[in-house]
Amino acid sequence: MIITQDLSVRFHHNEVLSKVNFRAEPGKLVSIAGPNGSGKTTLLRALSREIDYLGEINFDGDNLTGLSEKRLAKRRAILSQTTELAFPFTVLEVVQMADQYPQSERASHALHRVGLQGFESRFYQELSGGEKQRVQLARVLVQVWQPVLNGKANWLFLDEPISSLDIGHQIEVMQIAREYANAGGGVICVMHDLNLAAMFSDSIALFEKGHLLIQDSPETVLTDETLSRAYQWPVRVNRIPNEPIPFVLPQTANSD
Amino acid sequence: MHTSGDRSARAKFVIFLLMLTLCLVTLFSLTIGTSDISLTSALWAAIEGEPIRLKEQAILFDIRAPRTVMGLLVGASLAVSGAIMQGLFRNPLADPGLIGVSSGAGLGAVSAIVMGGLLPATLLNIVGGFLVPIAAFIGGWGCLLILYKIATRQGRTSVAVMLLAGLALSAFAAALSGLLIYFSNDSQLRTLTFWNLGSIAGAHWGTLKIAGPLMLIALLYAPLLATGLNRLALGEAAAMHLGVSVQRLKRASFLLVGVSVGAAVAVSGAIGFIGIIVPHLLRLVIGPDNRYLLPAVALLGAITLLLADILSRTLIAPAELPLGIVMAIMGGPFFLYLLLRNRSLLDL
Repeated sequence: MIITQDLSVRFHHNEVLSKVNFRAEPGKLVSIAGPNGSGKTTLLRALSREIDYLGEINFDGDNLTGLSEKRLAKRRAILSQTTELAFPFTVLEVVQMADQYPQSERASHALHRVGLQGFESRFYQELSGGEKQRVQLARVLVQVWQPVLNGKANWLFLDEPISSLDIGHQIEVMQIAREYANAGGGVICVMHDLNLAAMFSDSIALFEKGHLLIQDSPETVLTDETLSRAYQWPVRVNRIPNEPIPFVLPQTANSD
Repeated sequence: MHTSGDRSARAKFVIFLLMLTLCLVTLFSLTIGTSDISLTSALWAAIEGEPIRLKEQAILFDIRAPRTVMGLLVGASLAVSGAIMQGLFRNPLADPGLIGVSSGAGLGAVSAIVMGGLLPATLLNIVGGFLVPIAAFIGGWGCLLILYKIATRQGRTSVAVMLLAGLALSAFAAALSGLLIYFSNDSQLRTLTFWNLGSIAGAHWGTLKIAGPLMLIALLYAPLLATGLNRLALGEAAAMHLGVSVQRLKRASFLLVGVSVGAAVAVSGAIGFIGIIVPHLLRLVIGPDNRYLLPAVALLGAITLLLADILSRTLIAPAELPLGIVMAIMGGPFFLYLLLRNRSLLDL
């Protein structure tokens, strides 16, 4: 369980995250949504202990500040929005960097899992944006290979994992995240696509200007009123007949 | 390239070849020189119990052996330090000069040569002939410490600040050196010029006993940084996510480079190029994985410096060319050749 208590983050004099009480449970996929600059990535970076924060973050019963980097690295892996690689490493070498057991087959399995089998000997820098994103996902999967280890859940923090992917790969990546949660691991995922968030998440945390507006099931969070308020734009939530999942459509200026 | 994307088998083979080559070059370095004694004859003489002549023994064990060992260590240290700096700055063109060690050591050496005579006689008696190397070592360290202090805020060292401050500090140290040179007399000027050209001709067991262990310890410690440096290629944040204590890695790298380059420059003067060209060449052959790159770089660095030193004492024998010149004459065109041949890889 990851719980934040009155979590605030300040950059210089701007408060980019204010008194956020967020929670994520093992076995669940939590999506973080909200407009640009609402604090989604900042929350993820605070949870990753990349930036200083006020308040408290509890990581599976421990105060996050008390955990060593080595210990944290065994418990959670982070996929950032972009990762720039120095030096011409091959795809396999990049994925293997996350492996604690250098000779294991995990890297190959992970590449297979993200649909990049046969890419092992390609240079990372030669790949397309979407392919790079999937290589990084494979690396992240290798780092916390077992969703549950010694009775404790491991965690995936994914920052916009599908931002540069086509529809097919978007679904494939979300399915990987879903399976990780189904197997007992915890997944926290920053999402822009509310429809995919609705399809795959157990709960959605909606942010607006550094505040956590609401965190609940997709059906509860995705309403016309809440979304229009968060995004400052008229948004309409529809339902596919016979399907419980809502789908979201922004209204264009000349509609209705 | 290996089809699986795993270049470790090839890297191990290359390291094995480099080891063999280094053995050969070492033997070669022991046998080549103005005096005509071959190692084999000396060895045979020793094995058969025949006392080899004192003069030959002296040349072999008191001149060539320390010079060869010094060449090995200086070459390996400069090359490994270059590779570590490149990993740390995430840039294939980084070298120890960036963190002020070289220019600081230069300033230390110049100060000792020009103003050494002003020191109290008792102090001069203690340090004896080691004044210039000691001053160079202290100068290199002083520069590095100042830079580290400038670039570190709240326990975090910014490599970007270090890079920029390093440029400023290097220019300042060069200016101070220039000022000292301006006030030096003719004989000091000659000493200075030769120091700047770089050489290991003056190596003897005395200097080796002090500088050797420093370089050796640093070289043996270097492989421990390999995994951290690899992960740093993904950026500081991603390396941290993977469990690397980035600040500790930086500190260990600076310490290692400070010790090994400080010692190397102190005993050999300014020898350039080896720290950039050797790692660059090997990255093209075995890839950038530091677990294999660092040992390979150490071996090829030692080989390169020994070869350059052999050339420096044979090309115009019985006189000697300064090692730094030979290195730059060999290194410059070769580096250009590599650049032109491997353009596509460099863009990666």
